[in-house]
Amino acid sequence: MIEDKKLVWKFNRGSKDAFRRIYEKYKNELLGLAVTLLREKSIAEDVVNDVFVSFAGTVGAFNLSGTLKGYLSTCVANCARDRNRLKVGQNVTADFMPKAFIEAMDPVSDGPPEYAIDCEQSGRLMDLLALLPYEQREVIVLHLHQEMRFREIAEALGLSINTVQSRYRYGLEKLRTILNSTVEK
Amino acid sequence: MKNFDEIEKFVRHGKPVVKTNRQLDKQTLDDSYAAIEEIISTSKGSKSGILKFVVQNKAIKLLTAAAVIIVVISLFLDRERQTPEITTPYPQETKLISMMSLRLSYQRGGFDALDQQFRETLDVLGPRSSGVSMKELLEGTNGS
Repeated sequence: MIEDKKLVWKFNRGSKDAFRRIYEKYKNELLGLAVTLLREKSIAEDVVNDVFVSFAGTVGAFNLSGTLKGYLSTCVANCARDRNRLKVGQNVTADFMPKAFIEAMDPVSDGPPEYAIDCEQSGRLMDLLALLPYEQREVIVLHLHQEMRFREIAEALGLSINTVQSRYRYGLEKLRTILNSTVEK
Repeated sequence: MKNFDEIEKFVRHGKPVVKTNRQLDKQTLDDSYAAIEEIISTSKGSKSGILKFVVQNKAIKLLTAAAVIIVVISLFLDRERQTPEITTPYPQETKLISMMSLRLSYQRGGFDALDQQFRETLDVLGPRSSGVSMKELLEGTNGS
């Protein structure tokens, strides 16, 4: 947090090095968020690019009120929502799992078996999240993956905290229903 | 899965770990640096000549700050000097006469005489009146 404040301070004074460090620190996290929300790596990359270029445009005037991670995550979520609107009309089926996404996966565990498990679980989760309305998916991912509080999400998205909590609850409820029906089959 | 805790755990565990590729890194950083440079050059260009000179030179910045502080302090002191002194409504002589009058009353009849004089004074003054002359006040109550 203090490190981020320092980086933002330097960035506001035009330090490209500070900007690069911010980018290096959050690029993978934000790409992961965009991929989860959009399920297409190429569009997710565009979103990350757009968000960082817009952020760079605030040099000298950027005012950090919450956390930098929260701010950038919200930017990605907002940008992803716009892209998602453009995608509306396209048929996204539950078994859709882009090859590019599999290629983008990075081994998080020690050996190949764990890597396969991680990929499989992430892919399964993405399939399930794709079945939720975008608004519910967004809240769930921001809360559970980006570790943003409900209040933070509500402020960032311009919603009431009750709406955010309702979306989260309905989303989880739907996930549970889907998962249970899958197990029964 | 029956409860929300398990679902939350499942979602957390399924967080994808992805890495940006070099192409994206290069493109993003290049675009961002260009945006930063554009903003900086625009803001520099918009400053007037003297302001630009002041902002760019650290020594001038300090000198300007010092000059501003001196001007503010001198203005403040000047204002203090110009503030009119709070003067007493009556000159010193009037105070002396009042004291003498009170003393004479005390000598004449003690606290009762003083009390009498206060009451008579208040009758003449009314509530917070300042338009009464000392002569009027002392008339008949100054021991004569």
